[in-house]
Amino acid sequence: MKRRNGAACAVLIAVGLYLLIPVLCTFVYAFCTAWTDLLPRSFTLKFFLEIFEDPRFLPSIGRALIISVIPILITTCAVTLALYVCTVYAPKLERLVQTLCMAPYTIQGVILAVAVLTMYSAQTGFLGNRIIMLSGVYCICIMPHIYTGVRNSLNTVNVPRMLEAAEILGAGKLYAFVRTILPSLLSGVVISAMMSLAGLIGDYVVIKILAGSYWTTAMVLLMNSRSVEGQLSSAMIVVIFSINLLISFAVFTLRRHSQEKRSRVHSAK
Amino acid sequence: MKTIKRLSRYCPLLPFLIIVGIYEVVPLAFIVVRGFYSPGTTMLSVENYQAVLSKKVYLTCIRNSMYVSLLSAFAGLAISFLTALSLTKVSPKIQSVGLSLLNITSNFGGVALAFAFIIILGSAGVLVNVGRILNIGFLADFDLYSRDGLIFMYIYFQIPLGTLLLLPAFEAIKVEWKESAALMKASSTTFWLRVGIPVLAPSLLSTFSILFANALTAFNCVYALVSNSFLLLPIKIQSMFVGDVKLQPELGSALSTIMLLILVAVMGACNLVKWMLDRRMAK
Amino acid sequence: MSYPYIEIINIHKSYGSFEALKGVSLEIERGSLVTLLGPSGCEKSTLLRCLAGLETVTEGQIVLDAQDVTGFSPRERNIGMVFQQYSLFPTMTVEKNVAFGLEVAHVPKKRIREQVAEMLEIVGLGDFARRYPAQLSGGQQQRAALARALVTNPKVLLLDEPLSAIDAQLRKSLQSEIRRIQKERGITTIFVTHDQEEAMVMSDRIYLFNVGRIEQFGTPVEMYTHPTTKFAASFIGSYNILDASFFSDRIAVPSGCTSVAIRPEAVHISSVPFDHTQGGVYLEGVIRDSIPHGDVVRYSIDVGGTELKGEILFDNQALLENGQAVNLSISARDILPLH
Repeated sequence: MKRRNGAACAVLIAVGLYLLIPVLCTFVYAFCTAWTDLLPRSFTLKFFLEIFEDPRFLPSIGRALIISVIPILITTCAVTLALYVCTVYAPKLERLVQTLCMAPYTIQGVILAVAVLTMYSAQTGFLGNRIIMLSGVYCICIMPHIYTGVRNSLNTVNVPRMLEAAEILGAGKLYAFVRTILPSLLSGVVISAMMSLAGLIGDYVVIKILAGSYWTTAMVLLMNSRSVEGQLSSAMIVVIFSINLLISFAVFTLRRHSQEKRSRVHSAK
Repeated sequence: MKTIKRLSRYCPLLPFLIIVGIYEVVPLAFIVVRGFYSPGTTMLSVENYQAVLSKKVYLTCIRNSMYVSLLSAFAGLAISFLTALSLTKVSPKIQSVGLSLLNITSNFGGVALAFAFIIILGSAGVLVNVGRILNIGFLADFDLYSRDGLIFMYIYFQIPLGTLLLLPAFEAIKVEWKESAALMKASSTTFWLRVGIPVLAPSLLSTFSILFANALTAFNCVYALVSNSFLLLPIKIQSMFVGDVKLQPELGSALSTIMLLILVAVMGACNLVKWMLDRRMAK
Repeated sequence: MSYPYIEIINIHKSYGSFEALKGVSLEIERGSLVTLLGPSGCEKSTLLRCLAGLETVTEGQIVLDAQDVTGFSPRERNIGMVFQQYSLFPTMTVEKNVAFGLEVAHVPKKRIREQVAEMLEIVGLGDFARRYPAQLSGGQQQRAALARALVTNPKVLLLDEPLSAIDAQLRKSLQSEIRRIQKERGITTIFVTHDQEEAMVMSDRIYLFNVGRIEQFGTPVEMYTHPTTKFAASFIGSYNILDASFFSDRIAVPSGCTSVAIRPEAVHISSVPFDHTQGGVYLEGVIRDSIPHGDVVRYSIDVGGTELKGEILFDNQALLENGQAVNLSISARDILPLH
């Protein structure tokens, strides 16, 4: 038994190093004046000061957040309503909804963006607006995550039984759904929303194709400032990745919190 | 009246259908169709597909993309398998540390990843310098901007995704099978080759198809690394729709459709084999 | 063979601070079928797993065929085992499952085919060679698992509650089949079960376990007719267990015994009074309940506040009714003292 564990640990250490070294080096690099020998020469915070003093940086993060939050809200509502119809009235439609939601898992990025661009860019008015196109594509890109989150949450609730119970007490179907089912979905939905947020913040390809210079998010700024000193880019990455880490941490805490809540309820029984 | 009432039940479906219709179904259908338009006109022809499948530049794109995606998917799958297997064997504490690490690094993709690799393995990269100083040939001569350097970077984002996808599948491996195999004098390797991997085969196949799709459609990290200079499908397609060079949307649409077909073909093949395997194991 | 084939010497097994096996010792003769019997959680499976090498012992020795195997890994012990469930490898046919151990041992292909076919015939699965486990019933799966365990000719066969997940009806036929195969091949077998009827039917010897210790052991007849402790009496058969004080004024009860046990069929019931000629105990009571049990009727009789169970062979003409006053007669030798 112990011999096998040794091999397992060796694999994990090797993989762990492979995964960590790029991240750690980037972080360290952001604090270096120069790193041409084995070890960095000296440390400084000046690059961080520079990017925060740059008037474009913080707004770019703000823009990234705004353009991410709106599609998340729209998609969450749309998918939840669609799954409501499927679970209550038409289980057979679920297959269709599932296919439509999961397809973007693979057909994301370039193909979707150029498809939308080539379809609507010539239009004047609402559909031809770059930001609207961007939001629309983002809605589709996050659908797999939102769908999985809502579906998994719904699976933990016996929807038909709960709705029947509410209806016997006099409630209409939609009202019953909103009052009895939605609260149980909340934590699962929030978790997938946050994961989608992390994904959208890191997007570059869709914005480049659709909005380019119209809406400069953090990623766009990062790409544009490539040619400048490497440490500046590293510093930007550190900031953006830290935001991602915060989001992951929030997700992790929420997951544990909802698990604890559920186990407390069970033990109370 | 009854029909209207029954139809009104499906109203909540509308927002979903509208969004999906406008931004998923219609554009994708359009891009497939547009590949059949002669450039600049609306006359139907197959000249775009002929060009895409015969001109060297496009064939190189397809070949490069297939090579990089297949290789990184296989390598990613193998490493993910070993990582997931190792995670099942260590203590719960190390397991949760490992899981956190995987979750964190799965977000470290795209542009940030490319920059990180430039920092450590670019021409003036930290590890390359270390290699030069300590005379480690492999590091000193590492060329990140080649096809193999690219694969090395691709494997990075394949590992967390693959491992997180495979981990739940290991719960299907019953301890009784391992114990039976041990009593029948089979080594651990024999067990995994003859029992474990066949049981996991459906999961391995679906994970492979996801990893392949992930690699084929990867854009951010490649563009951040080599911008338009490396011939890969997503890069080429993007350059035909946006940019300073002459735009070729019809040709780009044809190329996109080819890329979609490759995706569908590989994923379909995986699903087919998976279906055949599942059928054998079920009643 | 004058030495016992399997010797289990003072096995202690602890999980952290929890002591599962508290000094267990057994000797098993070659070619016999021994049952480890006990309720769930009494760690009988743990002993089996220690024997197989799937668990390490904290203290003690295991000697198999005059060889100390205590430190051996499962692969080195030459033992075959059938588990309660998930026995077969799901992605292989029955044939391939049974052939597995032979293939690992690098037996020539032709011989593998012959031995597998022979083994499948013995367990009655000749026509099912090409089926997959998911296409078999529970009973068929366990038969295939048995074939797989036996085909490599192990020294010992271990069966860990193999029939617990099988339907009751099928269980009986599988019990006799396992016994038949075991006797024909003369393979030393250890069987774990919580079903005392199963143990009675199949075993040469029974070891009764109670919370990590052996409570009593003996042949099925010995165990059934002479339980020595309250636990044994309550687990095997459907004994009446009474306070010794119930009989203290009528017969001599050995000192140190607080309870006695009486088999239901030893409680003779009659609507007419008995001749008080034979030494024994004569009681009077009232029928409270009657339950048919196959070919006997079990009566629940109230004797001055204490409940006694008695059994009579079913006779339609002589059924007793609830509330009827009856006479009971128990011979002294059927009153068993318990420790």
